[in-house]
Amino acid sequence: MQYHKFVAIFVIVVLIASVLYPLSANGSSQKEEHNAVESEPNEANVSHNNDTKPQEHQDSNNSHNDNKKSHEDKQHDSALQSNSNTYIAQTTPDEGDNRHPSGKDRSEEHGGSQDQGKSQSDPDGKENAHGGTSGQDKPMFDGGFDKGDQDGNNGCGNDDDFEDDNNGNCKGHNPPQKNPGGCDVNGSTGDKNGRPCDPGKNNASKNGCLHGEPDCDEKNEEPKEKPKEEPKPKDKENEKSKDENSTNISIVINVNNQINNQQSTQQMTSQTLGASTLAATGDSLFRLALVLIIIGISSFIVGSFFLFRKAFNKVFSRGYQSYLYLYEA
Amino acid sequence: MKREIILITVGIILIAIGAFLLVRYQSLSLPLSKSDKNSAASESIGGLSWPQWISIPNSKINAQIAAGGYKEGKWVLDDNFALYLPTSGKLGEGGNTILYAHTRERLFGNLKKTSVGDLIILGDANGKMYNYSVYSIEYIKPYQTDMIETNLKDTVTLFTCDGWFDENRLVVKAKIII
Repeated sequence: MQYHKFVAIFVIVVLIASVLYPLSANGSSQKEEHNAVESEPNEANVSHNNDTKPQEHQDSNNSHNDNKKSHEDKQHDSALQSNSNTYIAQTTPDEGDNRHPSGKDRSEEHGGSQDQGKSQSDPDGKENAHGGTSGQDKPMFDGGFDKGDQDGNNGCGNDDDFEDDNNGNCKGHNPPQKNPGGCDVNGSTGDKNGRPCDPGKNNASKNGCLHGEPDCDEKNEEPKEKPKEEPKPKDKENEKSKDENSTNISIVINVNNQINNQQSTQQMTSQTLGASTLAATGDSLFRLALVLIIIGISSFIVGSFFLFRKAFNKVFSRGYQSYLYLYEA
Repeated sequence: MKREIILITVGIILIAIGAFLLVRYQSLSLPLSKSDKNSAASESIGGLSWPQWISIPNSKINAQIAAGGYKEGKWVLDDNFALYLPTSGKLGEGGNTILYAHTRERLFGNLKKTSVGDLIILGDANGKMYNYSVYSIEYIKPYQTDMIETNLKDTVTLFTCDGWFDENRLVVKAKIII
């Protein structure tokens, strides 16, 4: 009776091991797919770094950040649109996967700003649901690729794929676009010199400049050559700031070059190997298969033996009883 | 009667699973062709040649080398040869030469016994020997392919499997001794 318990326990353990092993073996192939997914944003990153204008990095105000984000997001959108079939939804937190085309990891929220924005708008609809139910642009909804990194921010959140919240478009969060030297769409900011716009004249300024036109004063005045003056303290300060800006530009360029060099090294690596995973040089699968086959054969033999013995005993005892019956008769 | 039938059924199931895993194991890698076995020994271009044999005296590793690589989505593997990645650096070229092999006694089974400072000797088709000194031993995941690259010149990188279910890779890096 005891051997049945041992055999049952052993078989359960072996079955669990045989189920778990393929899962662990498939881990490498899953990572392979993951790497393939990541390679696309990296390419976008290269183009982004090359396209970055130094002037953009001089500014530190909010409009610059908004423009930069929208620039990154446009690239991200185009990358997603072109590769929408190759992405695989992630369901676990994945810090450092750098899915965003800028190369910056948005998984970690260093600023600790927590969830922001309450808008329930959904400008891009269900097109980026990726397995979610609906309303992926709304805070705490389930759209987007990266299910493990949804931060609940509406607009430009910190989630690294910028998917779950407004798809990174930040629609409705950008300041109104000003026309340099003219009145804006709403006629609220006045012309370049601060003169109020006249709503009754198609948002024209007092000088008659329509929306979008350069300032009338400058337009009508002929350009005058001003005599060169000695640099004032303000100019010196400006020169200093220019120097600082130029050093900042060089730093930014160096950083971009370093990023590009790292990427080229990674590309060289993949070219050298030609594979995204290293060779499986072990024999664990072979050993496991052998063990299973040996146990299976043993189990089959033992079961057959006892089955045969039982059947034999039954037949033999019947025969013996019939013999006794005949003998007595 | 019931128990015996259960035993027989379980036995048949285990045999089937074992056979499936065996087929899967066979399909994971490509066997080494005869031409590949000979190519490593004969390949020598302009004084640069592929490694022909490897020896690590402290780990008692002595193996012949054949041309392996990644073909048709699979790694080439062989029971008797250590394998050289043809797209990696050639000996005398100044690059990084990459070798890999099964975790077996006569191949890289003893690679885990290697320690920093150990001597690795590679021989080429011209009979020239290259001596390397181990400077790095790492355990990485299979997908960390960038870890087997190095920016140092004249290096050799060896890797093989490690772990209960081959879930890790043992990577040994060595630089040339001038």
